[in-house]
Amino acid sequence: MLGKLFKHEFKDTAKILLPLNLALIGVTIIGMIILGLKVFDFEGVAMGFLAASMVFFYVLAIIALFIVTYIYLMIRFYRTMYSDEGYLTHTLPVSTFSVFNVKLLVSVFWAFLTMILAVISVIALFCTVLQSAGELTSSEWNYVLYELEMFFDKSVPALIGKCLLYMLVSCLSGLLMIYCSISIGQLFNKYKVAASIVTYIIIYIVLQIVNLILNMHRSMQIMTNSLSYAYQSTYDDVSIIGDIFASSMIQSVVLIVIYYITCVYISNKKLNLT
Amino acid sequence: MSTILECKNLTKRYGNFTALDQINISLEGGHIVGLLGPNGSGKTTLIKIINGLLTPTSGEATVHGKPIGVESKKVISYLPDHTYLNKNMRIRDIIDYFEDFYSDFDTKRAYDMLAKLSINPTDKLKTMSKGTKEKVQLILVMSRHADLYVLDEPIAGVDPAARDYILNTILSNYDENATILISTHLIADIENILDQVIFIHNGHIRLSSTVEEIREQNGKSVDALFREVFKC
Amino acid sequence: MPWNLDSDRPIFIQIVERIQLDIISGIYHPGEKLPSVRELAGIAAVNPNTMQKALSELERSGLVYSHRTSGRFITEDTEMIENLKASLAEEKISEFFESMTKLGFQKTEILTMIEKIIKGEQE
Repeated sequence: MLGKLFKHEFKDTAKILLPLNLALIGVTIIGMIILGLKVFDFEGVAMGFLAASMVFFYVLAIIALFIVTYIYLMIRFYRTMYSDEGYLTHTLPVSTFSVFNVKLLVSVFWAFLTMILAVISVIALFCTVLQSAGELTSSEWNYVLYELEMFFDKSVPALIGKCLLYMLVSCLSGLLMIYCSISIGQLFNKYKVAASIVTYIIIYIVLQIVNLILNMHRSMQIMTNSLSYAYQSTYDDVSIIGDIFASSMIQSVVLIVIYYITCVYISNKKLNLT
Repeated sequence: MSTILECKNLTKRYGNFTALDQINISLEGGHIVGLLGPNGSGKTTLIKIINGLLTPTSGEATVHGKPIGVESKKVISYLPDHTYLNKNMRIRDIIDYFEDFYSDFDTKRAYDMLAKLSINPTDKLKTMSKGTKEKVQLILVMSRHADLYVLDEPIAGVDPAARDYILNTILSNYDENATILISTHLIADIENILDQVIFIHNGHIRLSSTVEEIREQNGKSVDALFREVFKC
Repeated sequence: MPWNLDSDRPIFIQIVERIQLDIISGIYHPGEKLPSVRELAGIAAVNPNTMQKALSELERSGLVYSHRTSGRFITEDTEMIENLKASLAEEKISEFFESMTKLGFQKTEILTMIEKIIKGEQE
């Protein structure tokens, strides 16, 4: 049954999300060809303007891709769980728990995939530009990596691993925050969508305030560091960055657990289909 | 005959409002049961609890002796009182979906019934009229070999020809040992196919009897009795 | 087409009457196989259990008989059908006389009226 849930969830979401991600890959490849083969000579004002606007639209397209992906996943979650279609979803001979988990995992898969593809796309285009300008020789590349390792005091694979973990956690907490807001919003008998949005905004504001209070101490530390004579090397800052990273990871994980429990509880016990 | 559905002291409250109050129902196999009551009497609340869409405040509902859950959903075929399918899906894909999730789904029967109505399985639901959509949903629900069919207002707002089609589809497709629970407020249209009725009002069961008993004892139709019991 | 059934009398009795009438009027021939309970219930738009009860009643009276495996058939005993036809005719006639008597007519008056009507039809 779990397999069938995954199958249908993927089949359904792929209709919209697969073409979007393929488009991103396509745009990246085309961009690499244009930049790599120096099809255009970006000299002169007109060509410079063209280059700038291409970069602008590229950035815009990536942002749009994220927005469309998240909005699509959000609407789909609401539609299949809490609107009329919920009558079918919740009368399938599968536990609500499985239904929710499958939806969550499949959404995280898409959000994570899009994020990785976007990062790869940016890096690939950036490297192509450097390489075609002859500025990226292998020795310079090694130097950059070495500097990175020195700065963060970590090996490159470890850094990449850490970034991936951070991306995964942020996808998970981002989606769960949305799903949690929708689950709370549907508890209202009217204006469920509006209630969901308001819930989201409230959670967002509360998180900002909590963050502000939590980070107050650390920002003070950075400020005093930078002002004081004791300020000697950048490595202190790095450890503080590491600190911020660790604490925001912990915070995200705690939030993920809270959102998750809320979602599962509501979809299991507090369905309010009208 | 074994008991299929049993409700014991089933109660559902929304804040101060009591939608169902200590409901006791026991349904055996092989019957067509009318769940009759005015709008807002608790019919849909009861149906939602039986289908696991609502959690009762107290009391319990069991199907084949087991609480409502994955096992009960395997044997209950449910028709909600409005369209509940993704309108962008093709009929074929919806049938695949039902076939995948319900092991008792009879794909051939579904396609046969669609063919009789000349409905093209590659059409999308959203291109169909409201009446056709309702028929498609009924076909899907009646294509299952379920133990309990729960049909919420299957004939509300349909024309007489569609009503005949719906009743005929119900009668010619359910399994002999299965039970059908039909909720409706249009009693006259449906009473000939019922053999048992439950009158529900303000969350209470007012009457539970067989149709023949009502006709023999009161010398009047269920519809007439209903009008008398629920006289405003 | 669902059958037209009165709302105040038990349904199974009305089904029995209806099938009797169909047999007498030749819609079902002697020895013909009846549709299944399920089909008949579907046609009539009545509960299959009620239809079952009505058919059992017809079986009891001998008008219908069942083969264990192949289903239900109309009796081949044409005499029995004729008898039923005659008794139904008697019933209808006595009903008619009853209502005419209520209107205040004597039997002889009724007879002359009937003759007059039949003549009128022939002309």
